[in-house]
Amino acid sequence: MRVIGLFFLNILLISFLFSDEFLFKDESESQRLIFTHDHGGSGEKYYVETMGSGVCLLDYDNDKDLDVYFCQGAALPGWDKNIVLENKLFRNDGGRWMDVTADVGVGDTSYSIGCTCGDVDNDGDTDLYITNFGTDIFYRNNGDGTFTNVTDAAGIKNQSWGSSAAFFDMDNDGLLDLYVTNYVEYSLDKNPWCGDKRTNRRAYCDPDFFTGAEDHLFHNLGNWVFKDVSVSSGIAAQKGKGLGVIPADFDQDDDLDLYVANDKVMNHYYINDGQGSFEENALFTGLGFNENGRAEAGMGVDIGDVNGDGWLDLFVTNFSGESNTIYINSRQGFFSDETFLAGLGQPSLKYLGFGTKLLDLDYDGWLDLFVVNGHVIDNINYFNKDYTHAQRKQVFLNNQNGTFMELSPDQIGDASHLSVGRGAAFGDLDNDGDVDVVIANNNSAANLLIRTGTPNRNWIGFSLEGVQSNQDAIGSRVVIETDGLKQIKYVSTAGSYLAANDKRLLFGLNNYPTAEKITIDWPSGTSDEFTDLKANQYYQIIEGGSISAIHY
Amino acid sequence: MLLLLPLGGQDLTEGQQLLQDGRYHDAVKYYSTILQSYPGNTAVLNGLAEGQHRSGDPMTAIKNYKKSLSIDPQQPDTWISMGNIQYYHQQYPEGEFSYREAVRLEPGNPRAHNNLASVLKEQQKLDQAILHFEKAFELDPQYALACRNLGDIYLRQGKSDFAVQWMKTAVGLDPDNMRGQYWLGKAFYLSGEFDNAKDQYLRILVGKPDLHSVHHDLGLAYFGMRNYGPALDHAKQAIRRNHAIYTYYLSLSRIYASLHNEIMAMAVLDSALNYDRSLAAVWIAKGDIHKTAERYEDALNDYKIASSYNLDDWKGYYKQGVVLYYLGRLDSAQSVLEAAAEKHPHQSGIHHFLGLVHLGKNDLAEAQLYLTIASEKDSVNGDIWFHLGQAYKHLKQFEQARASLENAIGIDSTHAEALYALGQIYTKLDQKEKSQKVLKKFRVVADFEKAEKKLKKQLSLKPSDNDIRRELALLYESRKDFLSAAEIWQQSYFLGDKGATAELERVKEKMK
Repeated sequence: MRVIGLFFLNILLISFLFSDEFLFKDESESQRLIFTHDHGGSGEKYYVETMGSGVCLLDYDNDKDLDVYFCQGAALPGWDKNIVLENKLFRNDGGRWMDVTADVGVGDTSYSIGCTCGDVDNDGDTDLYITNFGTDIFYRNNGDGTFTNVTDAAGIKNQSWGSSAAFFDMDNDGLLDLYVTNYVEYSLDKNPWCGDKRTNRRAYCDPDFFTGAEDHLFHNLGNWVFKDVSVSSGIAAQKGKGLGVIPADFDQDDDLDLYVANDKVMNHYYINDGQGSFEENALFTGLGFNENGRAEAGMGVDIGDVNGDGWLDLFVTNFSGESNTIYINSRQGFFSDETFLAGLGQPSLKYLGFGTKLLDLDYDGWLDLFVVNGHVIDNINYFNKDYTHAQRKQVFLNNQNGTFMELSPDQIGDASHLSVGRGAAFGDLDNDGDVDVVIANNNSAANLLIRTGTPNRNWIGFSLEGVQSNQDAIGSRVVIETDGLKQIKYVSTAGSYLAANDKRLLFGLNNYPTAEKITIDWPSGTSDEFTDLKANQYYQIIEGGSISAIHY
Repeated sequence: MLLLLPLGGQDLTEGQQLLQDGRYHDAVKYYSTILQSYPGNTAVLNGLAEGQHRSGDPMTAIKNYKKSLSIDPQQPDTWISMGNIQYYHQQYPEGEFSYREAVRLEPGNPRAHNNLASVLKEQQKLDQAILHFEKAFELDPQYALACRNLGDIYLRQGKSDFAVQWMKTAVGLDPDNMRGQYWLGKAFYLSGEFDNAKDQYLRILVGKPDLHSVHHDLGLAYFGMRNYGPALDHAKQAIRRNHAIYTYYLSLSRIYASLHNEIMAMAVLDSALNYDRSLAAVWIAKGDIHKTAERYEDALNDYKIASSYNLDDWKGYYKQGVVLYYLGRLDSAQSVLEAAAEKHPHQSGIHHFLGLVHLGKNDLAEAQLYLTIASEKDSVNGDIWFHLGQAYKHLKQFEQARASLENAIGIDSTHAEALYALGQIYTKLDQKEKSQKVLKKFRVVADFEKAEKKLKKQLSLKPSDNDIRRELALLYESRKDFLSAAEIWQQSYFLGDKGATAELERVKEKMK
């Protein structure tokens, strides 16, 4: 019996190893999603060259499929190519992509870094915010397939080096507010020479050379009027070197707190008092540093309940030579860095992580992990033979016991290809119930990773619409219970790096044909509950209890 | 001293004269001839033995001494003479036996005690050696050599105060003895009395300006005083006078490195390697400079070369292991560290880094084992206790983690990592107030270290920039680390900041 048992175990193991359920295929060429980022450099190693760029997923035309917006660089001194560099919007035409930038009016030609999107005015269409090295741009969606630049009119003024941004409702008044992380104080005419003087090899500088810049928090007053509340909210009291941001209700007190990943200085954890004030408390809650008390690079971020205890944990991508970091929520107001215990430490040391997502890839109800990598120093191999500029993505499966296991390159298809990854936006681009990935690579072509492998398990998806709450339902908590397994997710477009994700939520249901109980806690304070929803289907849920299956 | 036994009316004066004149081969012939007629005569045997020893045949000399002693064992001088040959040929146990016989026969003989002590010293039987050196001095209060030897033992034991005391006595008794003056200088240096050491060495150089070892040690004394100009000057003079001694290059490189002049520090080491590329210690010094600058690939290369030239030395392997660990190549790090452990199983650093490697690989039981061993071998190393605390934390043994981390803080109250980890542990143990206190301290320390690191990095790129030095000195002062501040001001002065003198005086006032 034992021999037979071992035999079947080996078969299972072998079948897992050769499984194609996690395969991704880069369809950027075949589907004509052709975008090449140009960092505008000419060999002077301007610091801004190496950090971008970002990408956003949004259904700008409300035709029920996600479109893609890419951020582009701009000419820097010495750049002499004869092309126009502008941000690009591609319309999703179902397996084909069309550059509609010129028609739509979102081709900003500033040096763009990242973007975020959300329905700022609750009119049912998605608006767009671009962070720039220079003045940020705010585009209002006119609802007719075009956008208008309303930056000045809206009272938004961010002229620093903006990086990641996030829309969230900080005071649950039904209007999306805006948090913008700013990186460092830097100007092109003060670009230090960094690198190895002995061999005259120049490299991009270390963030230690620069002072951090203040982040900004803009309160949405309605009617396209925003007020900069950075000072009154307490945000401006801290100066970090912000690269990643994610709003989430970490302490489960029904308001959205903020986590900001800072580059080589303490990360910030702002606890929302619900009244418009934020208290920074990363040091005493274990979120500021890694377990050794070291400030790490801190780029991409995501949140999720990785251990199934109902509380949000946090994942941050870091530099090569540092591990990425997973902070496990102790449920008592503090977090522990359990990266190495989770098996996520050593595998990440060689890589430099940027965009990232916690997502259920095998639909077993447990969150897995996708990390996009790429070094910032293009000649890094000279300084460390183990490192390369272009790096592969990494995918880790949750073992359901506090540890993760990395999938081999063979198992993830084109996701194993090397690239200089930066912003990564995650969403179901083909509406087939699995998550695809669009990656903006630095100074090179973007990737469109379509999930071709399919897990042999069930899933369920939700698209929420607020009524009293903000129309995007950002900040809504969705809890699914099936056969004792409880999964919790929050609606958000934020997270990853310089990106905005699909705000729909996908849950794995293992082999269960239905989700037994679904509870929605809306930001307005109301709740809706549903039972026995059939699997393998998206549902539209409107605040107040209305639910309907979505047919794409 | 040879015994002149009457030989049927003939004395051995002639033989003794030959020995005194240095005509050792003639002396050997002479005594050999007489021995044929008087084979059992100990004086002849002794004379022959001495002649053989002096003419380069020590083993035959020993044979004849033994013959003499078998005839008459009651010859303390003969025991001493034989013991001397054994000592100089590193036959220490045999030499010890010979000298002990001399002492037994003539307990009032200061030379016997001195020589016995010397051979005990070579066998690291230092406590016994001290007793006999002291006895020699007690028997002959003018015995400068015994005083110097005592001073040397205390130097080896790191008891620099005693070393200085005995060396001073030796010099007082024998002021013209250059070796004594030199060793007194060394004793001053090792006890941190750099000014006195400097004076000693200068005194020697007045009479003997070409002594390269004195120039070298004088350079180190000036360096100890952070008087960089003469430090560099004398270190260079040592090399100029004798370019074959690699430790001189190491010292000069060290002085440049302390000035953050990495380029010169490296150039000095490269010039040593131009003479001899197999100097493992120099490759290691190069690796250390690269490692400090976080150029780990270069450091790894240097350490590998060092190991290739000195396969038996654990240091090269150990340092490779450390750098491989920093590079994140844990399997390779483990491999070389294990090789280092085979060569030197008692080295705490090797166990420490093996523990870190296993911690990185999540082999917690192994990590805890190695780190515990390391802590036993080096119980005053805060880093080891910190990492052991981390291992316990990962094993969820929080009380043990707390104890280890508290040990780390006890050794180094500004150990930032340990402070942070302890704060986390206190939180886990629901000791919120303690946690907050420790984390607040951590923040202060971490902010300081970050600022310090930033300035040092800037300095490494611009070693002559006194504005950066000024900032660094003021940073140290803000933390009341006046010693470090003073050192930086001295560097500034050396590099041309005339205003640094006043700042230095100001800081010295604060140090009072």
